[in-house]
Amino acid sequence: MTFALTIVAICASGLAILHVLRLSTASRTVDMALAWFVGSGWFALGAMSLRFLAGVPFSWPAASAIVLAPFPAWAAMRARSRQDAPVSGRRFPRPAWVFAPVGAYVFFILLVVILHGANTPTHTDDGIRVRAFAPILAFDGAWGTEARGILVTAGPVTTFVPAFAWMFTGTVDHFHANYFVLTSLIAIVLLAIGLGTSRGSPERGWASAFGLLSVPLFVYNCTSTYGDAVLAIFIGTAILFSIEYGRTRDMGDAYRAIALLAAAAMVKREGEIVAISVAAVIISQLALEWRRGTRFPVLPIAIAALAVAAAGASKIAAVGLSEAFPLLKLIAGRAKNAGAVEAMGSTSIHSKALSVFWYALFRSGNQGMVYWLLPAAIAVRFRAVLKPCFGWPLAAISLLLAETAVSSVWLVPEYTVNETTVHRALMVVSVPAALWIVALLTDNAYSSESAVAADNTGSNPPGDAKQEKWRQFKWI
Amino acid sequence: MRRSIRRGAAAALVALRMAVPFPPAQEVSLDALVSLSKSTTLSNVPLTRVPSGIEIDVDGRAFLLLPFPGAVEIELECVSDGMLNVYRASESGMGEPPFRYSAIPRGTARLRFDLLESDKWTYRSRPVLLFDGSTRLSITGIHVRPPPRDPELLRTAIDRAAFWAPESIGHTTINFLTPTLWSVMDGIFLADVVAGSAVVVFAVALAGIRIARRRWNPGIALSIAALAAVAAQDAHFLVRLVPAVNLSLPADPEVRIRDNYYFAPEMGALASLARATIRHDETVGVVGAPDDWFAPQAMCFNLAPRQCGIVKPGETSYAGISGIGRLRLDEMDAIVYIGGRDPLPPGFGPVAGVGRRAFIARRQ
Repeated sequence: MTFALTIVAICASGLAILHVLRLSTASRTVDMALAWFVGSGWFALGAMSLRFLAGVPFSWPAASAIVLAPFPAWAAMRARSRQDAPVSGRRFPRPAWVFAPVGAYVFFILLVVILHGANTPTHTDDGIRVRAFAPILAFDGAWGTEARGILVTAGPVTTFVPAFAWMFTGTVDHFHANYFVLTSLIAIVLLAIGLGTSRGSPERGWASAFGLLSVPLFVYNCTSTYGDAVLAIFIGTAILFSIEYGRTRDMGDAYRAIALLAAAAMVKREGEIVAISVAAVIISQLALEWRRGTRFPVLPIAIAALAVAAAGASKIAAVGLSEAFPLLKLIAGRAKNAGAVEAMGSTSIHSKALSVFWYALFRSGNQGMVYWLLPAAIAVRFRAVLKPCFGWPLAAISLLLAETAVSSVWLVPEYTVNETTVHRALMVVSVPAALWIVALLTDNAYSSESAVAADNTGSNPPGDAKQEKWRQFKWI
Repeated sequence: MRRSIRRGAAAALVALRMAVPFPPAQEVSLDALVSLSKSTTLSNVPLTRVPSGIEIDVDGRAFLLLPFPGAVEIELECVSDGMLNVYRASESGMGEPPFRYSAIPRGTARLRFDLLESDKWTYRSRPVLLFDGSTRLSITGIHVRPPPRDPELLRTAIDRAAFWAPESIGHTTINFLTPTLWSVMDGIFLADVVAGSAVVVFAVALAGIRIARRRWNPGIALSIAALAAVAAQDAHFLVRLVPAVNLSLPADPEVRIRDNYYFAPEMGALASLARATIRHDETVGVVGAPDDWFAPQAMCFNLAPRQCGIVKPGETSYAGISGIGRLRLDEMDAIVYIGGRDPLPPGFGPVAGVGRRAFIARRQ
């Protein structure tokens, strides 16, 4: 299975970048999962920029150069590389009678997704339009005008990463498009579990994985080659670190979230708008804290902005300014024609779209119970929601929901009414929202449990030094 | 009250899969079916009576309308000499997802279809079987189960059939899963029921914690209610998903392409054959049915990165997927023909195939 070559190369490259940018954590599991996402973003950015800005064809030497590029810098910086202190704590969540079935569900559904996803050839219009076909175009180097349009729609990450191993083997295995999605799913599950476990709350980790895999349409989409699930995964990882930043006040977590958002901006044509919205919330949070005396991380934000700008410049070089950002073009077109369209009596389609959107949120079952639990969690834990660790990520999720609502009801109501895109579009909100709800609920369950334990013993919960550190900052 | 008890008992009977008092299945007279087909439209293809049963020449899509309004179950015994999918639907719910289908394997097969799973079943609507493929199919026996006389039992049976029906993976599944209804007949969504139950769990948990710990903890109560709600929804999701997915260990990619186009088996088999027989440096044209948006493009996808063009009548050069690339007929080394209606372009002849309308042609 030649995709193993892709996994090894992308993860190694990603690990090197994490060390160069001092973003590695105390957990190898977290680092490996993080490396997959950061490495994917790096490779896609490198391949796209080389091809369309520098005119260097995508080939095995170019692919090798991109994945190897971070290693010299890593070697140079290794001596003074910063590493978080390892946290010794519980590895298994408690109580076992709750988390044993939760863990069993996580393992079983992952197995189901992996087997069905690996078994199923590209069998929808994805194979004939964009995401699964884009890597083949990258392999072939056949970037005619129509092909470049596909590149813009698919985004650089889903175009170049699945094609990596083909450059070395010289043959196309169509299933690499499937393996890319499956690897990303495994990576986010590992990240969620690893992050919780390595930071003293295995309950949060396992519950996050459970929440993530309880969004039915997301689970099914991960067995396909569509890009919606991939974008949801990338945004979900960033939200995980955004929540972590609120907890730990460790600037590294904010940088990790921003780095992941830079990678997310290169997934699908919607990636830029979605990732920039979430990044705007995180940067606002950092700016507000800077006014209160905290250091503002200019350099990490500048690096992420540079990456997004380089990807944007590559797209402009590929298809021209007018075609590089089709979503903006669509918005501008819709805004320009809004008056005319309403005069033609199409208001009814917007109201129909609104009712389908409502159905998609609450009743269709595609998003599971996410949108029932979200308002319930906000209402019941309203005081906790006002704290920075939950308030800022919730602001980002609200922005994503607002964008999806505007897109579904106003921008492309016809695809909402016929239900072709509305459920898929919501995944980019549902996945972060599921992670956020879990974080909020487990925070309550286990912070009160830990507080009781600390009160009883007069000390911190065993092996939970980091949690104490969070507590110092959590309520500011 | 009496009605509620009857409905509850009927639900329990069906849910527990006990001996449901449905009328027994009746054997359909194949002679009567053939003679009726001469006076009434039962199919878009002729039904030919042969000693072993009825023979249908499936060439693309052939439907068979069974004149048994309100049938709840059909058992089909058949012999097929090729790959075929059969979709079952209720006359009133045809053409809309969920598309419920089964593969008819080569050779002898016996298939049973629960028509209550199909969309918009009514007492008056007749069952429809839609055969998709290109092969000769012999139907050797049909059994039809009429609806039960008790309307309450029937209502419950419809609700339970729809509730437990496995997901049917098709072209549209990527966009939305089949809506989950607690009761199709009453239009009650599962999400509403689960949410309502979660409110009850929340209240009970809140009271329980108050009694046990002498303090209010709505956060913990919500965690319990959320876990219960999500677990219930996940359990239902798994029950519907697992029967529909492919859980075998992945075989060689070529075998997966050949065997795993679940709703287009002939396309998968032909794609596999084409990949094995057409060299990477050869250029390919694909001829498909004029109304088929899927097979020609999916064929080009599976043959990529070979240069591929979709041959359409009235054009002089042919574009590939999403209009990429242009090929003239004289540049094509091979033609992959999948369910087309037009004849092969001049100068080409079939060399290998998987069905009468699914073959590879080369220059002669």
